[in-house]
Amino acid sequence: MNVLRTAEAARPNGSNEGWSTDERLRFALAAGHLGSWEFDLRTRELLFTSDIYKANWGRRPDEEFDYGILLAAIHPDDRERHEKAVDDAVASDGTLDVEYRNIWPDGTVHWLRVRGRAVYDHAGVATRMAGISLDITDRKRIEESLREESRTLEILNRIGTTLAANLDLEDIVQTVTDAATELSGAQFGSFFYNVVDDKGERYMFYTISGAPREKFAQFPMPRNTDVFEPTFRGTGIVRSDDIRKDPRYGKNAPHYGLPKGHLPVASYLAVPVISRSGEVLGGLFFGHEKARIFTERAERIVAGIAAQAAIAIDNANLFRAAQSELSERRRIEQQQTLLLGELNHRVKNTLAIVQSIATQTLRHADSAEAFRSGFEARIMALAEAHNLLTESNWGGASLRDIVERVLTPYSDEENRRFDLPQDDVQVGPKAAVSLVMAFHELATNAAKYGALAKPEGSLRVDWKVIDAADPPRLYIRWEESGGPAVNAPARDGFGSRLIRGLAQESSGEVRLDFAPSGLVCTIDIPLYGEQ
Amino acid sequence: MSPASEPSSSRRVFVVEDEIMIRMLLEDMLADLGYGVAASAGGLNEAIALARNSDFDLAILDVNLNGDAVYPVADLLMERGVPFVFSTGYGDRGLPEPYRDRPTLQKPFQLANLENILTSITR
Repeated sequence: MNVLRTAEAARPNGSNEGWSTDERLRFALAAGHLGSWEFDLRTRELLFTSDIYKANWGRRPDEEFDYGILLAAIHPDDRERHEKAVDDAVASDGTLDVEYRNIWPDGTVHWLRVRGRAVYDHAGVATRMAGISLDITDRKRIEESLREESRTLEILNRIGTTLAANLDLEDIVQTVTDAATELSGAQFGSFFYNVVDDKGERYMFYTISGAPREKFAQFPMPRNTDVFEPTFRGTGIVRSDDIRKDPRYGKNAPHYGLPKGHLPVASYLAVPVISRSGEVLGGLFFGHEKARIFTERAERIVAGIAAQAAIAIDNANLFRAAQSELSERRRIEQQQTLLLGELNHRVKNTLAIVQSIATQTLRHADSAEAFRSGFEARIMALAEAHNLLTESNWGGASLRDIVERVLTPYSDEENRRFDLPQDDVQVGPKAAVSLVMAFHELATNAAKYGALAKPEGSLRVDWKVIDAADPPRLYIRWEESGGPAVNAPARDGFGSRLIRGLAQESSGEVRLDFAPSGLVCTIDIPLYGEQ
Repeated sequence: MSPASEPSSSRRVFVVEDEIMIRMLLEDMLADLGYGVAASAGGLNEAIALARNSDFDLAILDVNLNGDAVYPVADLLMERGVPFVFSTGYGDRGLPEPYRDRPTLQKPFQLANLENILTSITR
């Protein structure tokens, strides 16, 4: 409407007659907000500038405007483009069409589109150029925001794909930090996040984007100060045009604000990253040394990224938990296989021991009855050895337990026939089996032919550890007295061979002394056997 | 390899077995089959020393000696070119690569099987 009224007002004498060409042109220029100009190519002077044209340069109609002012007002980065466009137009078909920025006296930047046509003299030399101008700042702004929008979408899409396919926590947090720093317009950004290690302990790690990590290495981890609390507690986003003016800023010891040497921060944006379970996984922090950098849009974008990050981190944590459960299961399975192998080994060895006892008992038995009772007694002794070891989870046995268990069938109520030392000694599982069997043989022999065959007979078992020896040695003495007169056997039986066999472990020594007053057996073996 | 001091023509065996009663069983079975026992050991260090320094024609090596693998002894015997057989309670579980093709005696022992294996490795 305004334009029409202006055009009407321009009509000469208010008559209703048809418009002149000049009138039509002025109307069209005004309606299209087009400025018009004319330029002398030889003197490089502006011959004519319309009011709208001057308005395009931020000038009032009464303000001075010449070519020197024009050149000075063009954005320095675009000046060369303008001059080249004019030269090119003259050199080619005379048509000018160029876009550039100009800076108004108030300092604001505007975009102009300038179109023109050169006028040639009869000799074909370009003398003048005339044309129009249009302020395209709004169009440029829309174009810019469209470009910005598609770039944002592109980055969001890219991190969405990256995050969805990624199960590596470090990768995820770095991707998120980089993208959010870029999209928020921050100078630098960081992601502080909680990590639970294999032992279940929590640590806080961080990634940095936009600044070298060394810039932050000297500072302690952020604590729940007034500024950080909403982020680490997950209560909300903090966006500040200038955090130094925030009432929460600078309240906490020891730094009262940023630690000394920290990159300067005016604009501040912090977004908590919260798991589906409600747990705060960490926080995204952004800074800029200038004030008023983070827009509401930046806040929305970063909040969106934080939500994606939370899902990706949840997934990574789930994956990690599943991995560690799988490896734990594999470990248990391996252990089971190992245990089964060990069990098989132990059973087969025990069967071979039973085989040994059977064949040797048979070798020395005068009758089927002698074999049966002898075999049974030895198998019972072997079973007793296994009982002892089972009690200690096959770790070994106490020598006192070994001797007491073997002698139990031969003790009377007061236990007076046996005299055992006070000190106890632990022996390994292999030695325990051999010693149970050896003592069983000695006891059986004593009951048949020695001190346990007569009520007045007595038995003394003594042992000690000789620590001074290297390796330490176990010394055992079995001494019978008060029994019938002793005769040495014509040949070694199972028991004698077994006892002598004890010495066969590295440099052991065993003596069986069939003294007439009673059998004396001494066993001197390394305490721990061979390693 | 048979020592000159041994009048008998019987082959002499080195027995490595950490269980006394199983060692006694092997000694008896070997005697029954006409073999002599040159030496016996129950622990790895003792077995290594004897494998280096004593004379015998063949050896029976228990795979597991109080938790130690007997393979260092086997390596010494392979170096010396003395035939040997493993004995094991682990069943058919595979031996490590360099020993995979060695004959193996399964516990408990069968006299006929023992005889066959000993004959086969000294043939």
